[in-house]
Amino acid sequence: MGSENPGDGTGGDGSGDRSFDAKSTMLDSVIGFVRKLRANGVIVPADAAIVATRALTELDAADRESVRAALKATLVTRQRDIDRFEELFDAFWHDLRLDERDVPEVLEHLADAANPPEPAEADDGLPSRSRARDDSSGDETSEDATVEAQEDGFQRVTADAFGAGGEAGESIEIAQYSPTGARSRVERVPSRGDYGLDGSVVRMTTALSTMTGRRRTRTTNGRFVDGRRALRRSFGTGGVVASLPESEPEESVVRGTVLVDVSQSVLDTIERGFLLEWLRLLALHWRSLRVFFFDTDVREVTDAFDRRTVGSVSEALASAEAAWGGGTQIGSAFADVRRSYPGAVDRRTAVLVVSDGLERGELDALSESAARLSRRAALFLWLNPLATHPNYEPTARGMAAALPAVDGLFAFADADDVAEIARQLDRHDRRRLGYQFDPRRPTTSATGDAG
Amino acid sequence: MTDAASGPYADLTGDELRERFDDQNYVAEDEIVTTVLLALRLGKPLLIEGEPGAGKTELAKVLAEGFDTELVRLQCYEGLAAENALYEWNYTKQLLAVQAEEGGVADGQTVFDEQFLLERPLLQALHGGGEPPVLLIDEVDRADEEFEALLLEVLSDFQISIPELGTVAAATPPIVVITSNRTRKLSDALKRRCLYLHVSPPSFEKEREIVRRKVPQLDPAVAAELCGITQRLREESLLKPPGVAETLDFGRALATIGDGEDGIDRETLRNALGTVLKDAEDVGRVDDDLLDALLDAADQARAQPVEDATD
Repeated sequence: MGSENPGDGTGGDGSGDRSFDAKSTMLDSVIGFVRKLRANGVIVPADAAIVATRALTELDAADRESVRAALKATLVTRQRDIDRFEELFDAFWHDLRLDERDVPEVLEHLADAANPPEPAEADDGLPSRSRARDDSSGDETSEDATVEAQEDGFQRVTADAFGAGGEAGESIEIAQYSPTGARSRVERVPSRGDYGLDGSVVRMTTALSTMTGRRRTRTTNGRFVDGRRALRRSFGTGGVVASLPESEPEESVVRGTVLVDVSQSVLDTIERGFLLEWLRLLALHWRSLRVFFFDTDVREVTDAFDRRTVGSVSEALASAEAAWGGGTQIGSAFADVRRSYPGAVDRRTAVLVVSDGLERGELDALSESAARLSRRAALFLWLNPLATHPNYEPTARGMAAALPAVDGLFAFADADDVAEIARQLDRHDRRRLGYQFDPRRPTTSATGDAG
Repeated sequence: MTDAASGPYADLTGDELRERFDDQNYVAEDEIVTTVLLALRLGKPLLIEGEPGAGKTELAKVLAEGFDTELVRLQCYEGLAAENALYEWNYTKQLLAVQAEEGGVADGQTVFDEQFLLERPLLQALHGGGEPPVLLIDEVDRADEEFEALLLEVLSDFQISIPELGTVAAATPPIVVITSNRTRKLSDALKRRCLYLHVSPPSFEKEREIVRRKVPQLDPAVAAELCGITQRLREESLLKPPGVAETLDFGRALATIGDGEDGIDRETLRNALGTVLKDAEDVGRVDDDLLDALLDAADQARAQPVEDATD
């Protein structure tokens, strides 16, 4: 273990080596725990084991709750890892208790070792603890983790040793397709060719990209004066401001997640070629776009839309064995997205749901998960192929349950509908989004807004 | 990198910290006390995540009050940039100074001097002499990723380099508290530098204790009912579930109206819901069934024995 190495750089005083011995032994068991956490999908920072060990030596009391709090604070970085941590911590503590040495005692020794007064004691209390007991996954990982971690390269070296492994735990992209029930495989979808969507999608993208943000960019005819550049320039003219540089709000990137209901009832009302072409254009213009198909379960089909034509998109979908045309459980599908693809929706993503809102599952689950989506996303739009009817009202049970959470409910069946969505987004008025502000509706209540 | 056990809080014990929390009427579980203690001793920033209203910001304020030191607060927002967070040159003043010298600056003088420097929160937190202040970086998830990268340097070295002036380093590093509402994922680099604390909405007992301390004039039985109602409301799928702040508002409203001993009746509840529900959709969702459920929950809560709630 190389514990005789003097001068670790952190010490400088006489106690440095001793407390370091104690730390490195403790480091062993903590690293075993860290490895277990990682094996179970918890993201643990590269140098967390060292910080955790240091934290343990700083504890007042070595009781279970303090150790739990210290390890949780140093090893866990995400809320969703907390449950897993709690489970594994119980096992970790239990294992330690089965060892000959009583753990609290070890930790008390550690605390002593950190405060130097009695030099002889800490040494014999802490011979290298057999680390075979609490790792089932073999030996090689424990080597790369600890051995180099002794010297002053502490963080850096361990970071190297851990780096790749830590990140690799987060592979959430694996979708599983299980074509059951009445679904059919996505076959070649006939395409009419030009749907005239390009302009509308571009307009929609621009509208979304300027929706938020205070960042400014330089321009020749902006709305703001740029004082900073005015000063810098004035140096060249001896302090006289010759011209006023200007700035305007910067366009930010557009990220989005589209959840497409591919149940039979939706596919009956919407042209498939149009749907795929629209998704393909979104993927083309937005900085990042993730596409999910759902009916009774959810699968990610983002990769298929990285193509140049609708034909090749449908081929890609077919080769990924994507299926469509089953029943619908919108609420549980939303919940699945949250659970299985936690990165898909965040504060800067616009979430678009394409669905008729005919829910077969629990209504409570739907309103609950719609509310969650709405809280989390930058914008939550619902595109409903049934809303194209001039007298449409959202009275379907599922639609009514989700409606309070939705920023805007739009008709969605052809290029005109996309143009209308783009037009409304372009007005930058979030309180006036939705089918009820569509001027194409016969007796719309919102007549005054023809913008 | 700051090292452990040498900072100003090396001798602080958990009991002392708990005492300071108690003095400030902050109800903290063991886990919070231990984690805060470690953050202080290790000199590491504390990253607090949790639902809005769980008491994240309050913790920083309590720390500042408890240690009788200054609270430097940086509220994050989208587009927050270096000149709003670190420092900015006072361009107007510089321009005037340059022009007053008639097109030039006299020998040995420069407009890049401390008197032309506007200190923004991060620099301010490093610059202060004496007791280290509490630096609260609030709702860091609202700022962009670029801003996070800027924080990394400040948080690991506690220093800021100003090209025209030199490096400003903190004599004693501030106590740093970072809060996040989890509206987006924070970078691993930032998380790695911090201790992590997740604050969940309080349990019924803890919430009752908080109400008891913050709104002492409210009848304990009514306080229990009140907490029963908000706990029940959090089970609904609301757009904005009530946090502790809303519970306290509700409590203060009840105490002000003076609807004391006979508990919360239907009419009072309906009228006072505006203090708890902050969204028109949520208010619209409250119908007779939900009111019944809430009143049931209140009755049950009232029936619960009032044992000593501090654990």
